Amino acid sequence: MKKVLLQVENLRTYLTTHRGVVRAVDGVSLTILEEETLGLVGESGCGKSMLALSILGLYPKPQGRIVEGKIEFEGEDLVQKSEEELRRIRGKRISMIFQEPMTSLDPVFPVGEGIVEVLMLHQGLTRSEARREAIRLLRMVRIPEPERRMYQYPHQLSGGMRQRVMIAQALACRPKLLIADEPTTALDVTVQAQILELIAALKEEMKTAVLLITHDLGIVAEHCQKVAVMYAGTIVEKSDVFSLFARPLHPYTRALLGALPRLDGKRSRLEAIPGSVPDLIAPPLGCRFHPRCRERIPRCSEEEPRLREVERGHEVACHLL
Amino acid sequence: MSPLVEVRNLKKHFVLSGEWGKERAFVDAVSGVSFSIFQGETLGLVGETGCGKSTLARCILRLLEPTGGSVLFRGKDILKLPLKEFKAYRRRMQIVFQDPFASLNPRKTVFSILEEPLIIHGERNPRARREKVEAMAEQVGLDPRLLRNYPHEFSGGQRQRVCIARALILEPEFVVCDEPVSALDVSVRAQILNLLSELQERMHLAYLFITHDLAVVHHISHRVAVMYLGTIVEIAPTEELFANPLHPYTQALFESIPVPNPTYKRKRMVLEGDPPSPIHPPSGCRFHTRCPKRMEVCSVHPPEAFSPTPEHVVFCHLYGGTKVI
Amino acid sequence: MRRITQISETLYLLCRNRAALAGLIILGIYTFVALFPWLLAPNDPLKRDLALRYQPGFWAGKEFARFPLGTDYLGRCVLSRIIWGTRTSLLVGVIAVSISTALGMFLGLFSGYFGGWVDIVLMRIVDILFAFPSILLAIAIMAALGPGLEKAMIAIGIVYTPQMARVVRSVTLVIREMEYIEAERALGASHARILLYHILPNVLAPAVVYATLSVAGAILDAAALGFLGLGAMPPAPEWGAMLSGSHKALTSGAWWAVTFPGLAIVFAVLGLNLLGDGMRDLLDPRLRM
Repeated sequence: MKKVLLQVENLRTYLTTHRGVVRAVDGVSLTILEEETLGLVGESGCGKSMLALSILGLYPKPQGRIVEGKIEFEGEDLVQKSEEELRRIRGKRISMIFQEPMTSLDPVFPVGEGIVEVLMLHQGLTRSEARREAIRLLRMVRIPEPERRMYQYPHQLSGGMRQRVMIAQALACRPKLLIADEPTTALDVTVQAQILELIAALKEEMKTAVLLITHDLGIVAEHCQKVAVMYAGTIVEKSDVFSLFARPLHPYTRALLGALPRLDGKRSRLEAIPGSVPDLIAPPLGCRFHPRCRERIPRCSEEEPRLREVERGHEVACHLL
Repeated sequence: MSPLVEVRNLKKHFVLSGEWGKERAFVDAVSGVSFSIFQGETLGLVGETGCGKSTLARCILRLLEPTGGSVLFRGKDILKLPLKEFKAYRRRMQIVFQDPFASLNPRKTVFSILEEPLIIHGERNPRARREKVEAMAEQVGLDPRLLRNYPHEFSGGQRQRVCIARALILEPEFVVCDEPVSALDVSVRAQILNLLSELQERMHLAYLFITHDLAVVHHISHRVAVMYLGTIVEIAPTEELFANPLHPYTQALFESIPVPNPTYKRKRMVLEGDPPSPIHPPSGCRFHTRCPKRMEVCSVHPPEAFSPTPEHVVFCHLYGGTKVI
Repeated sequence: MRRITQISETLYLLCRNRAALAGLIILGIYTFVALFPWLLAPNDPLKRDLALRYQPGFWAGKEFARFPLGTDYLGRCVLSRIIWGTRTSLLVGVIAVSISTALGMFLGLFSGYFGGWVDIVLMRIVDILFAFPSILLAIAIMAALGPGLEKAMIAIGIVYTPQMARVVRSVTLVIREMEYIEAERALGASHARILLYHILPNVLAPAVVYATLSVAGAILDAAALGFLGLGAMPPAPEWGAMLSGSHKALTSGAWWAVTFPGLAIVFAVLGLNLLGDGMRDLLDPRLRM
């Protein structure tokens, strides 16, 4: 049995905007075991990125705040930590890579500089040691000619190369947890395949757990052991990947899979989900999916369903089950 | 049956403004592309960022002036027409863009956005315009009561419906869809794909459907053309292409798509590197720098067309390059 | 109907923005003064009385209440001259900026939309105009046109044109590349229709903000020209000319003859800047949502 690495309990992160309070993360619980890959799927605006940012304490301040909940990482509650303490955790024990590698690399510094800095800060290496280590890391993420690439600027690298640099930087200190927020959404399919393979290989090698945030169910199916499906700030279904794709239980998960054009299936009409994603300022009462759900019963609009274990290791928040 | 749109050896080069005294560089965005589209048909055009697929579409519609080649619309070369005469063709060929946020003027109401094409094409009667706009809104599933609203009051999916309505209100025969669902969420994407299919049947439209999403192209197209760095490498009916991809690039592309089925085991053929720049495209076959099956000849000569079946054409030296068409 | 609600909504938002509201109130007062100077001015602004030169104002005691802000070097009522001068100064500012806005919008739209050599030629001319300090350029133009208030307006209008052209051009360049303009071209719309019906409304908002801010600059420049004796012809009351006529007063201790016209300028400029900044926030659709 693997040890629990990260345990998020009933987390609520709210953002105050001039339109009202956005309940971006509204009572989320999830667990990541050591060396495990958890896929977090959901559509844009469901709060999945805000959940990731909450773990690292990087949610926008002062608009955002964690109003409730615990984030236990290796037995320590990150919610209670000061900014200074969190800074020592970020990049060292938990790292993150983002969707857009162009904007997450500083355009005025050579790409190797970021890695050198992380190593000097967290590992206490001298500059020349850090440089040597950075070259090794760039070679590890399969960047050709790392000695030369290291001194190039972000705009001189392609999107795929930049994402490799980001990965090298994120893994420089051998973190226990890597949070990858849509790491390949901005990339082409052939490059996406390279990057996903790379993350999978490095994860094996370094024994890192990964929280992979994506909207692409295909990526989840291929790269994750467990999945959590998020809708409008809440988790509606949690399971291991085989059970989820074999028997999706929540109507939203099923609808999502039905709405996907598939290469293997017949090319018939897609099962579209009516309506659009709700506004998180005033989410629907009861089950948040009920206005778009085909199978709703009166209870759905009255009472919020709780996440319950329906089968072994398969949790669903739905009144139908 | 003669094709509705026929593209012959279309070329588009962009000149990069070089510094004084330096030689000017050319971006070879589209370099000699040919294909045809029939009435009521969807031709999918897949390719990665920067392969020239959007440039190609804009050249067909003369939003960009091509450098060479011809585009025949019902047999008439529209690239040779003076712009005045070409305006009559504008209403017969339309475009839907990727970004439903950028493609609607934020300062106009949806009604005036939809009315605009009718005004441009000389519908003087406001009543007739109103009726047409309302009928079109109905067709694309927009509540006519919302027509007085501004685009920012709509969701992404609804905005894309507005864009589709604007393109179709002149009753065109040919519509270019440039990544129309890429900016949309999965649940909304299905609605728009279904809508496009319905409208195609109802209005006998021909689509040139540009996308980088292979699942989408598989779903919506009758035939598919695969583009790499300004050239078409393979074109075939959808079922055949997906069952029997011949070009190594097509094969790699298909193998790269993540399949939403955890029990599926792929035979991995991950491509090395990134697509090269179209400023100095590789010689010979443009794919040879990344091709796992490259041969000596590939870097020397551009490959000739090979047709295993009448509708399937592939440009690759692996198949001998016997010219069949 | 929709338009009315839009205007009332804009006013409502304007009132919520405190700085902009303050600017609006200041300008409201100035406008009122400019419209009805005879209601407010205690004395004839032109009447001189050399016996009453450099009389102090109300602060010196009750016996000086006839000239609340004192008199200038010719014994004219400073307050009355400021009040009558408001009309001139605001008019100069507004007309000069109207000239620069009209010219600048035309050049900017044309240059930005069509690009190519038209753009290159126009923008190089603009660059050359930019190379001169604005007041120097205005003086040079005045030298060619001859002195006078109307000519000062034209000169300042020309001086402010390049900046307006730049602002309009840069917005046009952005809007021109938007997909909705491409959609418009795909529909077969003419250049005139695209420019006037689609690009112009988008350019208008930043142009109006910029124009508001330039009125402040134009008032200052008009005052400077007046100070140099190139603007309003004496004895017509104008803030800059008042400063110029009385600057010697400072050495003789009659600070009021320069301080109050100066303050009139400062508050007008402040009001315009506050309003301009407020409108910039207001017209940004992202902040309106």
